[in-house]
Amino acid sequence: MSFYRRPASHAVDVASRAGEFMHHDFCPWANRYVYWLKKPIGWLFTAALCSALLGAYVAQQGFAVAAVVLGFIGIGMLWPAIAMRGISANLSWQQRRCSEGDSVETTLEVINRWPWPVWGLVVETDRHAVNDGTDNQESVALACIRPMTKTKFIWDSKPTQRGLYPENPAFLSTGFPFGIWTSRTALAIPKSLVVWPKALDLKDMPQLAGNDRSVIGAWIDRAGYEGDVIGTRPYRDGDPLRFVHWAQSAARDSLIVCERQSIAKRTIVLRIACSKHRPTTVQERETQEWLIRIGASLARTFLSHQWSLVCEIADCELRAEPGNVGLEHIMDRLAKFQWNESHKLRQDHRVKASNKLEVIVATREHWLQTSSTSNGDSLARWVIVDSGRDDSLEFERDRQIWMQIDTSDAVWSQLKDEWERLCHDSCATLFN
Amino acid sequence: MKQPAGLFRASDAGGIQWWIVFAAFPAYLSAQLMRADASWFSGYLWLMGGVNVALILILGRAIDLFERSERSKYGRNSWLRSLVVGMLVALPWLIHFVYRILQERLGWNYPGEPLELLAIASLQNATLAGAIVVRSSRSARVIIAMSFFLTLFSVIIASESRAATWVYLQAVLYALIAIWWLMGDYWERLQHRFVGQASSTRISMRTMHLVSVAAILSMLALIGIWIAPETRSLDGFLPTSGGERLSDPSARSGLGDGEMLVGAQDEAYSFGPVESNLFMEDKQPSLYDMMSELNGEVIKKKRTEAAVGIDGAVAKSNHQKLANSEGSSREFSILRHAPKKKERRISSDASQALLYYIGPSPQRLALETYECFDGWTWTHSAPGQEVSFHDFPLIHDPAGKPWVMVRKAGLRTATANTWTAAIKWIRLTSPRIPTPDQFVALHIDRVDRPEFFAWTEDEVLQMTDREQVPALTVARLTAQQRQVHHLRSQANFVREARAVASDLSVKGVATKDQFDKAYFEVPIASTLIQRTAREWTQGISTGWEQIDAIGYRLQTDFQLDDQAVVPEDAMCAVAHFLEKRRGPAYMFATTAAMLTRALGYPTRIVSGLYIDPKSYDKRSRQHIVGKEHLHWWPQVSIDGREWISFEPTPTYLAPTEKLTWKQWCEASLLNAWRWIGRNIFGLCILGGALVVGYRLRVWIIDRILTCWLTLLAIVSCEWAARWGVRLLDYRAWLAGYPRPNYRTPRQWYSHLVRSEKDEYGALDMLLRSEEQRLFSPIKRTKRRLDDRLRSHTYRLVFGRWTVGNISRSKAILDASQARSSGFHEGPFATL
Repeated sequence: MSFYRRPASHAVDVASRAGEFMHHDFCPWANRYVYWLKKPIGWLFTAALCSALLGAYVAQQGFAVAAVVLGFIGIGMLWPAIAMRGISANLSWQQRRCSEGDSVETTLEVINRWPWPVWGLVVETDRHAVNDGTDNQESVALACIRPMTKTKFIWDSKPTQRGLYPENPAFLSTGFPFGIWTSRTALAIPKSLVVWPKALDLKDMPQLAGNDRSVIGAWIDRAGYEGDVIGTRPYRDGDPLRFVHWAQSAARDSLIVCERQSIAKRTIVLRIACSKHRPTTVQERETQEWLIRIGASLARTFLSHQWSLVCEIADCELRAEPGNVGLEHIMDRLAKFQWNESHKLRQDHRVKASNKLEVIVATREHWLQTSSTSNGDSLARWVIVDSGRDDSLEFERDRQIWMQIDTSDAVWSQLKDEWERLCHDSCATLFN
Repeated sequence: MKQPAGLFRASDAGGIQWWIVFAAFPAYLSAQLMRADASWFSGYLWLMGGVNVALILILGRAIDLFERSERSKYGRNSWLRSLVVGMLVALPWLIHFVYRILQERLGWNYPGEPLELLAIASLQNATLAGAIVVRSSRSARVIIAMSFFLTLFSVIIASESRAATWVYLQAVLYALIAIWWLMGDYWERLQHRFVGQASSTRISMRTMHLVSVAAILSMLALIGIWIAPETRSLDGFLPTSGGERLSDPSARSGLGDGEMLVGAQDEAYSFGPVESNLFMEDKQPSLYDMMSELNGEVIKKKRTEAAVGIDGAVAKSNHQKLANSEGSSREFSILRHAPKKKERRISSDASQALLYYIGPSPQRLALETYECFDGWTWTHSAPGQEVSFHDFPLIHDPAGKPWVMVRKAGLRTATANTWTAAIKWIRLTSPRIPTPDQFVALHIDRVDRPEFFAWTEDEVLQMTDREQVPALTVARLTAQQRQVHHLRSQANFVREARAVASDLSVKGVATKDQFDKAYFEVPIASTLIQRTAREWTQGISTGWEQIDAIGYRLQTDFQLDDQAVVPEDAMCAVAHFLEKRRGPAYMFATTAAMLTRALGYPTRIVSGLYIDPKSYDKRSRQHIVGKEHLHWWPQVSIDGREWISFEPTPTYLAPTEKLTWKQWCEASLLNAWRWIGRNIFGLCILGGALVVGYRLRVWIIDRILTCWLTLLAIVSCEWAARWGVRLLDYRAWLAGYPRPNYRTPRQWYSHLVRSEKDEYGALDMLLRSEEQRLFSPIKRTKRRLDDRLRSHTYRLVFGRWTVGNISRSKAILDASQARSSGFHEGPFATL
């Protein structure tokens, strides 16, 4: 093996350099003019032109070849063009909303008005909206539409990217039979699909007490899980074990739990510190998406625990009350969020975060920038999401940093573990 | 996102793309053929080509093995592939320079190859080597393009070489493989992304196919039955398919029958209009005899004429002039006895044939023309006949055959399109040559002297100094296509005809009165004829449309009856004919001529032969024209010299006209409009019936199917159950809830009438019977259930399962769906 290794490595270097040189774009400005040459139709037209020139200057057989090539081009262009003239289609999803990775039944109805079949159709739309989540599926293709029929194609698609689909106009196209020219017709999509960012169902809530009480509302003496202990009662199924009053239980020989106060109304500010500009690299984009997903998980958790939520993403502010309506409002907005959109948030409507509990989901860089400029008296709780883990941040945990999530590892399990730890710690703090 | 490799689509993970190799190899071979043919040492080149191929294959295989063993360490060795391709590109040049050195040092006499062939050799190697080592889709396309250019260069360079045929074959092979590869590449790009489907037919394809095939077959049958092959032949499409513009000596059918059809050198009576050296003698009837036999003998009418006494000198002068005029003309009286009824004879038509004809039909071949009409007798005494009998030009066609150009100078050039026909004389004894309208040229083999031909005084071509054209003579006739469409709504040609009369009178050839008398005179009953003509052409603009209208009226409102001759005591033959509305063909021609003359069109009548499409003999592929095809028809002059025929006689087809697409559309639309106008009442009834039928189509079809089901239930309850399910599907489809083909009837209809146990039971039994028929291997034997099944089917079909009920349930379902977002399976959840 060593015989091959040295010369191979040298040769690879030379070949790779030669390859780079050959693939280097020396005149990118000219691409717009020669782009057609990268298409099969461009090659064929070039072939026809060369044949005709040879026919004119060398031998007349060139004209025959040019005629054959042009005839071939004609068939290759007319066939799909004629085929698509008789096709109309509409795309629909069984449900209006779903989350990233959820399976949605997608239906494509294609009407072929021609008395002959149409083959080899491709659905040209956002890949995330129609594919089945597997890597080898770029888009959906239809083998054949029988003549004079309405054909229904049903498949399960798994959108892997949040968004409002279709983001771009959708088309049904075909290049059959030769694939040298694609003709397409617009695809009617009567109702769009909203793909929410994937959110983890976090089971519990950290105990927000002590200093936080002033900003989260007043306690009332209605049985709940927050505030002071207002009494004891026998254990009922579903009561958390941490509320068991062990001394009373031992004394009465049956489980007794503490009954605590509940809160009249609680509001929390959730800031998702996304970049204002569209991410340029794949890693950056992925990190930003994780910010949104984790923010969506927190929003969902807070709303499911009857918290009023003020969600800020970039410069956009959203308010949501507990319940399905509020959840849909928040998740729809997170699904549709784009980095380069202009936000018209009026400054006077901005939540005074100093009065409310504030959770900020941000990258490490953003946290560093913000912490360096703030005076440190904020009640903000930071969730740091970034690729890689910074152990130097651990000492900040007690103060401001709730959680630190490494996007390069199993994010959902990290979030779950961190959240459970947070709940446990806050409970321990409360009882201590 | 990479796709796995396929048969056509290259991939990093795949092996050799054999379809690309298959495409590159014919290109390689075509270049090798061309190089070998151009070389002085072709054997050596073939040897080197074989070595090259072997080398490339071995290297390709070696690279594969190497990569397979080293892939885990180095990945793909694109450098190795590039190196191999580069070496093979340089190889021809290297060998060439080595030979040059050896030639200089050792005195070898290998001349080598020119630089362009060396370049092609490099391209050859690059193409084949690239095809062997290619591993990406983009590279595959480059290889296919290189193969194309290699093939193109080979085709261009090999055009003059001996190997051209083989190179062309390789080029065709390459083209087929490349096209196949393109299609396969496209399909493989898609096939990993296909999704399932369920179709619902908008129009039943089976029905549509059946209807289409039936319609096409019916149309073909109608064409085959009603239209003669000549008239439906494609005009000049193929020499052997009956085209009239092209002829081929080897033609075997249609209008362009070639000379090689039948070699009539030995058998004079054989079929086919071929030139024969054999001539036969026979006692054949003259043309005059045949006309008398067909139309009856002429009655010598006893005339009582008013006379004015004049002195002898004037009388002598007038009589002399009249005698001269009559002496130069022949006549045809329309006062005749009824002809004898035809007897059925066993003898074949062919033996009684006057001539054979090959050419488009229907057609009219003129033998005599008559201009002057005195109320009873037609004579031909054309005034102002320009006598230039013997100055026909002679030309030779590309085959060297002599053609006598008989078209008279100064005629209007209607169109440059001509058609050709051939006639063969059999029993026609006349020196006159039957000629069509707008006759242009004549060819009789070996007759290359124009003085053989001359015009008769009534403008019919004849052979001079002969009593008759020899039997079995074959003549080819060329005439211009009939084109009267542009005359339909213009009256110019009438003025032109008048102008010719003036011109002739100026020249002193004929007086205007003579001209008017010959072509415009309506001798008797002129008031009746003029009134009739105006009535028939009311609302029609001056032009050929008026002539068409007269012809159409005579053809539709009158009857052809050879026995209905004009009685001897009739005051006016035309008036009698107009009153009785029946008569022989010459009365139709005479009446039409009088009517058109009354409108101001110069008209004459013609006797001759009518080429009936029905006279076509499929065996000999020619028309057999007998004496029963003698016919009379009128002709109208469009410029005073040229005469165009039209047809007023029923059962005789109008002359075919050559129309452009635009003219054809105009004429069709006009005819359609007139047809609608004539049948407006019937069309309204039909339209109303169609509208009512369309509105009630659901009900009608449903009733028909229900009746069908009832009948089936009498025969077999299983059939009834089967058709019951189909009827159920059909009604659900009509109601807007078609059952998709991926749902079984039970799945789709299982929600039916849950609350009403009886109907649910009926449905269940019906579906069970159908499922048992479809899926059970055991044949149903329980006869006692038949009555129950039949009654259940009736209950469902005639009960609540009507289209109206299903539609109502659809509406209720829609409303309930609007109220709640719950999912409903099946249309009858609320029924």
